[in-house]
Amino acid sequence: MSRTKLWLLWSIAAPSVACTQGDDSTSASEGTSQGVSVTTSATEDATTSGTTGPSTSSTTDPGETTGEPVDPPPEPSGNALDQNTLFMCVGAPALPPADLRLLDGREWYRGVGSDAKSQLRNVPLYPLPNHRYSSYGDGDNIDPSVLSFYLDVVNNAGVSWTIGKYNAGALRTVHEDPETQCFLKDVAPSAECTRYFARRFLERGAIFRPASDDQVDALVMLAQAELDEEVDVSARSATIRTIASAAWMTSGALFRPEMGAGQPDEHGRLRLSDWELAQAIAHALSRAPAGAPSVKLAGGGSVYSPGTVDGDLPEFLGAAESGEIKDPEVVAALVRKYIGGLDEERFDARLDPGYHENRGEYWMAAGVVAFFREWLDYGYLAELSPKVEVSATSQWSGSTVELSYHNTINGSKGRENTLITQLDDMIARILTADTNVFTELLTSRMFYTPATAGYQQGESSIYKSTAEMNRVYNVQQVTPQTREARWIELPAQERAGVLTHPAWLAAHALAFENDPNLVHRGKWIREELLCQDIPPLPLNVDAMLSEESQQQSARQRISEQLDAKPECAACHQYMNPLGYPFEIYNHAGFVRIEDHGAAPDGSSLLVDMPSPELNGPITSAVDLSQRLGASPYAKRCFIRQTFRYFAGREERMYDACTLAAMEEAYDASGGSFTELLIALFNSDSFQYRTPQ
Amino acid sequence: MITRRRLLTSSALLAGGALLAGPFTSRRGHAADSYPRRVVIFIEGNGVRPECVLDPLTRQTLESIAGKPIASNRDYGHTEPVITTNAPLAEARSLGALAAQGQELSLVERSALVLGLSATQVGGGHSSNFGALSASKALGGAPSATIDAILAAIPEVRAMTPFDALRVGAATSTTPFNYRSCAFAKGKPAPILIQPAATFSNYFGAVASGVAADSYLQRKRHLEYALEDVDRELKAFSGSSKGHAKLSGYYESIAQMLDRHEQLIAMKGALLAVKPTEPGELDPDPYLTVDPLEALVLQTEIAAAALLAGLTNVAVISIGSGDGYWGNEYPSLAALYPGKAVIGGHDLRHSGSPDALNVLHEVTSIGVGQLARIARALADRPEPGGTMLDNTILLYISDNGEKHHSNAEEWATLLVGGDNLGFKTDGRSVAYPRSGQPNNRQTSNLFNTLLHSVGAPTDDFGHLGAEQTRVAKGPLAELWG
Repeated sequence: MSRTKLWLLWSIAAPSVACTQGDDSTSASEGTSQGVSVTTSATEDATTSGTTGPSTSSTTDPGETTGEPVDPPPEPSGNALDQNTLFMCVGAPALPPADLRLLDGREWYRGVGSDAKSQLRNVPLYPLPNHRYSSYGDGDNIDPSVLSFYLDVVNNAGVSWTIGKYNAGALRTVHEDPETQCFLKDVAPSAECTRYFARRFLERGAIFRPASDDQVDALVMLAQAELDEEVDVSARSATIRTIASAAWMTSGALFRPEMGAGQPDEHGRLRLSDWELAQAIAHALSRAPAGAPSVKLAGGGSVYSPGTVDGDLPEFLGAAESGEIKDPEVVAALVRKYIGGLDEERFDARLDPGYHENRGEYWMAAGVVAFFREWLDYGYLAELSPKVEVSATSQWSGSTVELSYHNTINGSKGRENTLITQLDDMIARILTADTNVFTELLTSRMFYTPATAGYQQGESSIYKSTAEMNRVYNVQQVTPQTREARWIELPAQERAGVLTHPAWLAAHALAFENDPNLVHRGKWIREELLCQDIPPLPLNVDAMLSEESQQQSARQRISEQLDAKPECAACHQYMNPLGYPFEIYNHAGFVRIEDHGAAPDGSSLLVDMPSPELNGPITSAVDLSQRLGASPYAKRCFIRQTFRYFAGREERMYDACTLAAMEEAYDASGGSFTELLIALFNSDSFQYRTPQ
Repeated sequence: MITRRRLLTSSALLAGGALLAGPFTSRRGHAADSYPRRVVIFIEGNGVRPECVLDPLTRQTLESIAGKPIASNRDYGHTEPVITTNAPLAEARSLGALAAQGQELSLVERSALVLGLSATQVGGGHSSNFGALSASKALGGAPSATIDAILAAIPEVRAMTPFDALRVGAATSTTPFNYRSCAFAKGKPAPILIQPAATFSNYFGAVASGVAADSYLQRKRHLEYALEDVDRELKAFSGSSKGHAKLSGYYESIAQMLDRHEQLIAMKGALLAVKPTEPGELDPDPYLTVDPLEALVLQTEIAAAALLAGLTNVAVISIGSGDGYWGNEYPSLAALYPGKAVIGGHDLRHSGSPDALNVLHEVTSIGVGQLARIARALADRPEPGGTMLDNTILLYISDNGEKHHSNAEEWATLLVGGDNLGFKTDGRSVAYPRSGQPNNRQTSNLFNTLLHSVGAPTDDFGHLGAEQTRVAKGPLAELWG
């Protein structure tokens, strides 16, 4: 199951259902605050009283009142903090601690000059399972087991620096730099040549910032030893691989510093150095270092991934070198250029599995893609247990629908992309428009759907796995293989936004249509769209729906077995009302036309919500999405989620001025996600660190 | 800063150093001084259902005392431990592998079944995660070192083995690691390796053939280079305690790898004598399997070889522990699934139907079969005191108690071997009174027993804080002594 949000799955699993003996409490626990209370204590401990009810409130956290750096427990849940207070800037300084960040897998394989299609994607640099987002760095470590695997991978990674310039995988950094050629070709490279290559490798292939003389000296010494052992120049590629492996083993290549430099300010903080800041923004946006090699793509021709001889995001390198990265306008310009937009060629997608030519024409930076996949938690849909009877209760039936659906999950047949990338593309379109982004995310009816023309019976031998790929969107017609045709505005009564997208619906559901899918969906909304934690279930609560009820609808099962029992409803009142609206869909995301003999029922009543605009009756998930999309409270949670992923940590009370500035930037720009990120990247929360 | 010399002189390479300063030092347990001491723990994710390990005689005995059928531990009527000697353990649904097949050794008379152990303080639910092997509730991460790490840090257990412990398993995951069940110390999870090819590389890479062998030798140079680099960085590093901890941790890992590298090279002969099939050696390559049960077989093969070669004296073999069972599908058991439709592990466990339970009982059968496989391999190898099995105690235990969404009231456990460690594994079953009774016993007592048996007696393993969570202290007298 998924990795970045394993803790979330854990807690989502918890409320599966109901109540006499048994317990899901430990499942609900990891990485979330436990039994959060409604208190106003100034300590993290204030979040542990065990009362029921979603968390909304401790108002402060360590470090806020004194301004002194403290060493708190690892990443307490930001959801335990009161949201209204979090957006009140009273002038308290942001005090994030100085730290080193261990690279994650994507950052590493892009840095070494590879892509997601390579075996190098298996590099064992995984986020910790208790981290909400993969970008978090708290507690990173390389234990001996991880190191053992890393050695296996790193031994083979240097080949990217030895590939001939006419072959796929060749790096511009190597072949378009005239000064590296002597080291590639000379029988006995000069000392000057070797030193240049070593520095070049460190700065454009390993650490992506100026190398110290010590670092260069050490690598030169190793390189010279390897050169001395060469029989002839044909052994040079082996020498380069050894140099590369050694360099990638260094701490500078594995850990990205966010230490700060210069003189401390009045709060004792250091501002990130120019290189630290440039790379922090580059990593947040692109999940790769500025300077990551531009790679010659497979498929013939001379098409490279973005970048110059100095690698990708070259303007970041220049801004770091000149110091201009400190200028907020420079940051803004870099973000605007690299956050995404319109690209008919979809160069970005060429580095990932799939068929870029069939993707939508809008792209997002890799970091933005990762954020949405992790926040909405649909990125690991293909790893979830397969759905059974995928079209049950919908207007569709038959083995072709079943097989076509599974093909939209795993993408094994044909050249259409998967549900995951279809949701990516939908979001990219909204972000490219960059207006009222949060509302659009929850209300847009423009979905990027799979083409089915050319995949019908008589047209293709794989038609049984492709002909009805668009049925999960309730699309009747055969869709031509054009981008224009794939974009379909779905009916207003059926879909509205990402929470009604089949990818999200399936990612938050179990195997059967009348499983407690609504609990999972409701819990996600409570925790990730309203930023409130759900208390864990206590011991002696049996989270099982009865076997006798397996012929009933999920609504009936849950209303009778959970809502009707006070001991269950105490917690499920925070999830189920938010989940019932999704009963107009089945577990796989198909629109229902019936539900165990009755009409589909998405009605619900929201009471005691954290903000009054959310209260009231709901008719369906479409209605709910529109209400959430118009809610200032839910919008603020979205801003908090954005902060979490791109700052790489849970928010703290001392981030209030940053959150307030992000909201102001978003509102003033008419709901621009780009301006939201610019405000974050230019904030003290992002740019300052407290030495400890 | 931790120096390499300090690491080399420490017998507790990971978190055990501090633990050894406690009650474990200089105390004698049951094991003869000169005999090796080994512990192998099979841990099955999401419940070992008691009904599948309950033999007919024990059931009959307990039901006669209760005066009613036993559906769960809550039906137990006894208030004192009930010992059933000569229990026909192999007649239990999932313990058939204990019986002799052909020329194989019968393990029935070398085993003991334990019922009635509780651990409600660690929670149940889907998994108790680290709580299962630490006997402490795991909220937000590892609460303390788990029993495997504690055992591995005991000098008499560790002896001269290069690996503190072997931790492998079978699970569906997007990464090669499972970080949910084992921990070196509080907040320091220990990875369980879930890809057999990676396990082979980790433990037998030193004697791999071809390119893999060259790569292994190349590792040493890279490690030495990295060690110097990190040492240099640490000397100049200041301003971040968090960053310093990360660099120090990396330094420790490199140093350990170098030490181990030297040891493994020196053990080449012993490794070659038991080396399992290499990845890529056979066609079709079993290492390419996607069936977690087939992966389990490979992991067991490597684990057995590691024990025989002396690579470690502590092993944990996970069968979907933590979250590892969640997505597990068992295609080799497709015929047993309800409607023959293979579904994910969580959904399967949610079903609760007789057919679904039969699949889960078969998973337990296969797990016990792998335990029996190791036990027999150890029994075939003579060593001081008899055979390796005499000096090895093997456990089969759940990671959350009795079922999916458990109460953690019943942790049915199988023990095999360990005669020289003092275990009464003589074909008996021991049923403790149900949870809540004064004479109920807990998994913490079982872990106390393990520690006593290897010469590091402790009577309150895993008890953290002031809260009273223990029914009783000390080992289980009905099973050891």
